[in-house]
Amino acid sequence: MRGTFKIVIDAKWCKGCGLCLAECPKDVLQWSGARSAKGYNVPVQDETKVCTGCRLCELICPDQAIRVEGERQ
Amino acid sequence: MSEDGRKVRIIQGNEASVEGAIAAGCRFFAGYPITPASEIAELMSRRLPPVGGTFLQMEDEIASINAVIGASWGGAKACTASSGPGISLMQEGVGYAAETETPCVVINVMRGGPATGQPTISSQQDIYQARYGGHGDYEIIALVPSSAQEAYDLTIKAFNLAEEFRVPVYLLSDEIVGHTRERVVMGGPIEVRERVAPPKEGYRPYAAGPDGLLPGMPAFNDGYRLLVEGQHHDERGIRAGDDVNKSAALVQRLNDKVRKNIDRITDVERVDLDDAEVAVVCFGSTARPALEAVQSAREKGVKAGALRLRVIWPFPEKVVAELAGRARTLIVPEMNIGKLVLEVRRSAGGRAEVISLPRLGGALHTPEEVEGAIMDAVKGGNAR
Amino acid sequence: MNEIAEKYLRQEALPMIFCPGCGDGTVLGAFLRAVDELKIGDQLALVGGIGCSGWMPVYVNVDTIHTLHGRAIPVAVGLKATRPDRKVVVFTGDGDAIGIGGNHFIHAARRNVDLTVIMINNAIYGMTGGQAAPTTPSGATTQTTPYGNPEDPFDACKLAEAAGATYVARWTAGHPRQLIKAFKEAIQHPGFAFIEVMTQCPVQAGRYIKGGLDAPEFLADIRKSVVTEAQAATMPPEELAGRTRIGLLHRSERPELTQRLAALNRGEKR
Repeated sequence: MRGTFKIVIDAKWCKGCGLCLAECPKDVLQWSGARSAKGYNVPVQDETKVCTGCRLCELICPDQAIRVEGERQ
Repeated sequence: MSEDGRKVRIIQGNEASVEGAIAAGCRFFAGYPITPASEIAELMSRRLPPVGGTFLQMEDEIASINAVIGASWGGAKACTASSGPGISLMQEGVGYAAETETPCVVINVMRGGPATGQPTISSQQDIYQARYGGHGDYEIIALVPSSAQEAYDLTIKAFNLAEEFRVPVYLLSDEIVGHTRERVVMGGPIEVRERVAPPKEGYRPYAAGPDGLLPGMPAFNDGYRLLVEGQHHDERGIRAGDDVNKSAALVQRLNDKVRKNIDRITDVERVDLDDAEVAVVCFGSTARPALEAVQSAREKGVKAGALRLRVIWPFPEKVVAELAGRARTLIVPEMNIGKLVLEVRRSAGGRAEVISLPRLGGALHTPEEVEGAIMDAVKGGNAR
Repeated sequence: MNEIAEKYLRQEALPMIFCPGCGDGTVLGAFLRAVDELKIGDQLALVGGIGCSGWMPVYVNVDTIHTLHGRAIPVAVGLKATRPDRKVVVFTGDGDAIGIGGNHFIHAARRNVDLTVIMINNAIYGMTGGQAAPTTPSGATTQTTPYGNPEDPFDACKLAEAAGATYVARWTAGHPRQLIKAFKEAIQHPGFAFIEVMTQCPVQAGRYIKGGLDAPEFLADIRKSVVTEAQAATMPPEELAGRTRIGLLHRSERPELTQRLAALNRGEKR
């Protein structure tokens, strides 16, 4: 489970439901506190934590707003 | 069988409707047994599989009309048939077909109602149900056969109109037409409107032409990426129910595409109308005694005539208005509480006296009864 | 937006109507991934009913029909009968499928017509504002059961199996990987395939039935309420009581309707 992963959350589609935060086994996501144009609190990747690229956040996101970039090596 | 492929058979109106449907290219039927329409389903179950078609006996009439809608979008000319109670159950589906501009044919072999009413007895009580049975504003087309021959001819025409106008079309038959066995000439060179697939390039499924009509009929699974939407929608099929302007435009067009093209749809038979002082406005099985009465009155020197409607909706108001300008009296016999007379009276606009001749209970008017009304009118009598 | 969504969603129809945290979007995402893995995007015909779940196929850029309330299945039967070569998938809800559309549901299962029916079960009428559904738990308060639901809920999977469905599975919106696998199996299954997906509806069921759970809490609650066959095998009876079984629940083989209809077209008597 090595590799560097970037979690891209599209503020255009995110509704701030928090499912991705709850789903992440490594607590990599946290609330940004910043409001999107639609008024939602959009999560961001905590760069101090290690994302394993499991893509559970991408799979659980109801709004298809999350893209996990990077490949498992 | 003659050289041009015509054949003559003695069959019921219900059987003639099936033969007409298959001649028109119907390849899908879904239905549920009901008197007096069951023969249509029975014969469809025999006739469709050998010609590559599909017959499905559904769990109810709601499923039947919805399966017809699915089949029509799947690419098949599709049809269902029923009578009063079943047609009532279908109304939401008919409205859906109107909203989504799904070509389909609904045969109503009318019987007496309301409720279970008179399962085995004829009526013409459902004419307004055909026009106004579903919720919301939409127009349909309804044809009314008077004979087994017309059950054949007008079923073909119903399919053609459904394709041309992308609208549900009713064949308002009745128990008498449906169950009377008589001579029917079938086959030969008949006019059938084939389904034409619209061009895919830049296709917008609900973008109408200047006449309000959608060009052709696409099918599922042919690469259009269709979105068929029962909510009010824009030209792409995307929902627009919360857009007052787009919603208004769609509903206006759904009505106008029938109303404004009425001259292409109107179909009447004029009998001895040129000099008629008394005209009988008639349709369906009631036209049979009405035409006999007119002939009998003529033989007695009375200037009587008949306007027989083969298309009842959209109502041929211009034709009736023109007739009201020439004839003194219009008589409207019908097997109901007196319904079409309202449209006749509206169209006549006071230019002619309009006499209602309703009949309940399911027994057809006798020729003598209609002739009596004609004679009363001629004498300036008190028939009202 | 992720690549799968960019590839398959009907962009001009977006945004999706779903409330924040609704499970419908997760289920749709799993469906798109199943379609992508099977490479059948150009063979799909989708049918939606009425209710939140009925909107799911509207956002997929393939041939789609959004039908009347309860009538998605008969429309799908008509579509499938005319084009048996296509993969016809129905998106429906608990109210749509086994409330108003229950008659169609059992008869389509009886016919074993080759459809995939995905039933989103949120245990409530969500779109109309949170009224009791045929799946609402006994005793639950909703907008139409203010004193607690006096009725018992349907088990849709048992109903499907009893009516003759030949593939029956139940998962939750918290099982996206299992959903992808189940959707692939169901689509490839030659017969009536039924998948119930228990989903969180934070806005209606969360508020009225669950007393204000948010989406992650609600999903965790659903996960706690279910059990797989493997888990059940090792679980003491007191812990097992009241849990809903998930996983592949039934699979059998029986002649499929459209193949039988095709035999009629070839002149074979049944």
